[in-house]
Amino acid sequence: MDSVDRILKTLCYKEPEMVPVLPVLLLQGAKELNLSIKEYFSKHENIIEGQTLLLEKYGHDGVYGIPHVVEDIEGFGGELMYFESGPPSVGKMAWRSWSDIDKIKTPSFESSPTLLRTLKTIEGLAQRFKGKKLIVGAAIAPFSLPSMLIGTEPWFELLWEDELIREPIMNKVLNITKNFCISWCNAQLRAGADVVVLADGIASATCIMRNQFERYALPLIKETIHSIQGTVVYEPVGHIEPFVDLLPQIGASLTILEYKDNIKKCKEILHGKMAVMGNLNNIEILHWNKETTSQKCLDLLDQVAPGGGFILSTQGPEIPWGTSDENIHAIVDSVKIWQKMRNKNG
Amino acid sequence: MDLELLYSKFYQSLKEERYLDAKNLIYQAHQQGMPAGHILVKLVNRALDQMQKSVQTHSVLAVDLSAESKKYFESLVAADRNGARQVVDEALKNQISPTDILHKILTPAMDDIGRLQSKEEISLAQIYLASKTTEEILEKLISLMPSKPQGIGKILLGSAFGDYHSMGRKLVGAFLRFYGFDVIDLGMSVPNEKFVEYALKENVNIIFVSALLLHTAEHLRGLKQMLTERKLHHVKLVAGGAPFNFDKDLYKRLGCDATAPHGIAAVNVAKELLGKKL
Repeated sequence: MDSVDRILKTLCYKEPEMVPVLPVLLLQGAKELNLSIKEYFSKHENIIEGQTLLLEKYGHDGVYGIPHVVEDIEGFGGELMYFESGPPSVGKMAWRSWSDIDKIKTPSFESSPTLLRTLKTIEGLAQRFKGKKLIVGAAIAPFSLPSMLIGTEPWFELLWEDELIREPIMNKVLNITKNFCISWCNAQLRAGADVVVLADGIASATCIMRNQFERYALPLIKETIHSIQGTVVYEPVGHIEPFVDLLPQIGASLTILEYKDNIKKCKEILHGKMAVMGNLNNIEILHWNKETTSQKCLDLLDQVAPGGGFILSTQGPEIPWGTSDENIHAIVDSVKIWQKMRNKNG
Repeated sequence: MDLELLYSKFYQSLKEERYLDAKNLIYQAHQQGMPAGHILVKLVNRALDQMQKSVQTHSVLAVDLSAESKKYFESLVAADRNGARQVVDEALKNQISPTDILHKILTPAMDDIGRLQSKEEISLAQIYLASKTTEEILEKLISLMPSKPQGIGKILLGSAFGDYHSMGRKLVGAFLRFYGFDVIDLGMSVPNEKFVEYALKENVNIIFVSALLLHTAEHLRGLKQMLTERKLHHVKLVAGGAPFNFDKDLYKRLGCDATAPHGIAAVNVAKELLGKKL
């Protein structure tokens, strides 16, 4: 069975012959090619080559067409800042104040060379791996995108504003980010992505209250996913267990959980409606050895792998730069070890 | 004896439950020729009235302030900024002193917000609103106090070099200021040299560094080394931010003295490092 069938089977809550494993390796291709992170991301050929080498090295189930999770801001005129040993972060905000909002139109991803490069990456990966390995695209979800365009503080301030001031601004802003997100995700799917991950950090219980999630984030993500013509993975990048009962309505096939979420409980709540992925601690993994990593994976597999509906991975957004090769190998190898033990024990 | 002085002594005796002294004062007044009717009206009835009023005032004050604190807390949790402001405005209108409002209304409410945060039962957006609102009210109360309260320690605050995230740092700053620390906030992406320069210049007790990204958190190792090289052993280094919440021992590996996952923990850590009562 190849990776794509394995993943499709688990999404349908059936047990594949082996549990799918998707370590989110966005930066590590730079190491394989001996390039700086900035240089690595500057050409789509680098990422295609890097993802191919990573696949040959670890043998996991998917490749990633997006360089990192914040590139969407370049579509709005925001600027990124690069680091030597970690992912880029927002350097210059695209929006200065809410008073500019009337002048802002939904930008087209086609106006951003960075985003066009990502489409070329996905096309290249699709040529090599379509139907064999899962090709993953991603975008920032519309409720969280404003915090990266104007800053988290102004976004929180707006959430608490009087309704008369808040509603017109929020409607306009969310309409812009929703339309951008839909067209950007559909372009990635057209280019060859099998799934798109929607990263929604601000919509998690870490950041907002349940009533705010229900009022703003939930209807928005439902509308967005409804208009995306393909499979969507929802990644709250924060604690989601308190809202997990609401997730089956959104229309995504899979959700990525953080290590604090009780993954077993979440899977029980979502059973048959949405699969779960996760949720190794992606900071502690930096100082685990391969035995600890392997044991953590086996514990997780014992808890949630039986019955399908599970993909082994770390919590979002990615595996840090400093994570050792042997720990990444340990993650990928653990599914084989677990499967052997399971087959042996009948 | 002067009637007012006599009354004052009589009232004080009753208040302190020295009933024999009170009885002797009545006897003394009678001996000095004060008519029994006068003694009853000018001393006994007057003292009893005053005691009753005092009991009422005290119980009303005690009940109301804790009830007002609860109202304030509930407004913060419900994200009702105007409700919180109204509680404080009403208290000021009722002649409650700014100091009492700070200690008996705001502080218990913020203690409870901190407890919710420790248990992760409150969202970041609620904490943001609670601290912003309370900080704004605190500034108003301090302006109404006869003198600015003395700081209990000097803290240098900043985001690690290369880190352009502000919210966590500002929330920690708001909590530290609220609980009485003098805070110098150096802002985003602070080079280690600048932390050391200010630590020397401002004679600070603690440096708090916030980092949302793992690779920016790594700068703390260098900062600790610089503090040691400059013989600033007395300056404590505290780390905060997402990587430290995900890995509870990361701060030790980077050489920091402590970590604080949120505002109220930052206050407790700061007090502990300075040997203050928690």
